[in-house]
Amino acid sequence: MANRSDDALILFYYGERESPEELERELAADPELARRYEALRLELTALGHLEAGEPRPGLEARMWARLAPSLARPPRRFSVPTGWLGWAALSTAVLVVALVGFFAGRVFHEAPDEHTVADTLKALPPAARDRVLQAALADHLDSSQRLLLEVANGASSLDEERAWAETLLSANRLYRRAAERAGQRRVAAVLAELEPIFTQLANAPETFDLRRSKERIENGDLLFKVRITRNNLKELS
Amino acid sequence: MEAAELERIRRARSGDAEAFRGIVEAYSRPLWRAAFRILGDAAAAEDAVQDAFLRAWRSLDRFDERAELSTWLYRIAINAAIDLRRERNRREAAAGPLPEDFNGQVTVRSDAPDALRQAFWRQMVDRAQAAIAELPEAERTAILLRHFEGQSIAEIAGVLGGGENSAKQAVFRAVRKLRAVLVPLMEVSRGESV
Repeated sequence: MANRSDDALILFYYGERESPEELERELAADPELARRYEALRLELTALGHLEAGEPRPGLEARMWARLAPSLARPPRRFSVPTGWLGWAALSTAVLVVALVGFFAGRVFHEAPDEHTVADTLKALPPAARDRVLQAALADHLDSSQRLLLEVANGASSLDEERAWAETLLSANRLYRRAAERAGQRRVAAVLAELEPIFTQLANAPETFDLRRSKERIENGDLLFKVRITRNNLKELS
Repeated sequence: MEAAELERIRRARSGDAEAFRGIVEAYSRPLWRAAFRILGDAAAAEDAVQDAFLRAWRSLDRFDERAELSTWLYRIAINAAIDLRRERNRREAAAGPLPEDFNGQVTVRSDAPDALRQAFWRQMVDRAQAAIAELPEAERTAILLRHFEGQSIAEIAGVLGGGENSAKQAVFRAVRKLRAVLVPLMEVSRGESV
């Protein structure tokens, strides 16, 4: 009877034996060895159930869309929108919030050129407006998540995080109000939890230790909450 | 490493985001699969891949050009997935069941004809994922590269940097630990004809 170790059988299973023919002969001749090998084979085959299959189509494009804003100014820079397109995108997003306020009886946008956009949005069916709001909120949470990740992973530049947090703080307040008015209680709660972090970062003095924000992020499980909320919103929109 | 890939890395390292985009497009899919094996959730795997690429972008200066980019990224993605898994476990342990709209888990329909079998394999996968996540880094890398990526012991030794014997031992230890988790379930499966 051959006295093969489990390690030898593992190597055989993975095709790493230098002379597999010898072990093959032993397996054929020794029922106990064959039983042990069969058990090992079944257990390792069971690991095949961890096979991942395929992600949803468009993974590469989605991934790049999520990453690109964080890479715009190297290394690991956040880009505040400077061109008119960037500000237009931001004001459009904020206007969606304003639109929710409008239907709730409160209008807080004032820029005249925004009315045209607002009229267009108002003309949309309610379901379409909801989708626009959900998509805009999801984008905001995407951006918020990137900032939290930067801080959680040890961001190198307080200046950049401060500028980024200032931008997000303003938008976050508007989105939170909009979510409250739209009855999206849990979304509003997550946005409310983000505000102190953004406020802390936006007003951080030069001597500020980013680890304090990191602790706050970790203690509140903020990354987890933002991720789940964003994923739910993206599915809806 | 191919000259084109090396050039892409150098350009990305100097801050060329478009060059980094090439890396993202080439590796998103394999990294997603690696992350999914740890997390068992498609959306969470995407989050882990995003984290991994952000970490890679920040760490490009530390990438050794003699190494394989795929392996370097793979290890970062596995670590990102492990971090996410721990974050999820910590939250679940601290807070109990998630609120209704924070729970994205897919459940098996109880009236499905093979619900019992699916539940069994779901349990098997959960246990195996948890066991892999808890392995020491060298063992985890060794078993994932050997079992799922089909890399040879020699290639794994190149990744781990400790020689072929160390790589073999890492695979052996990982298999032993995984078997210790899987064997009881397999025995239940055989006993109950699941």
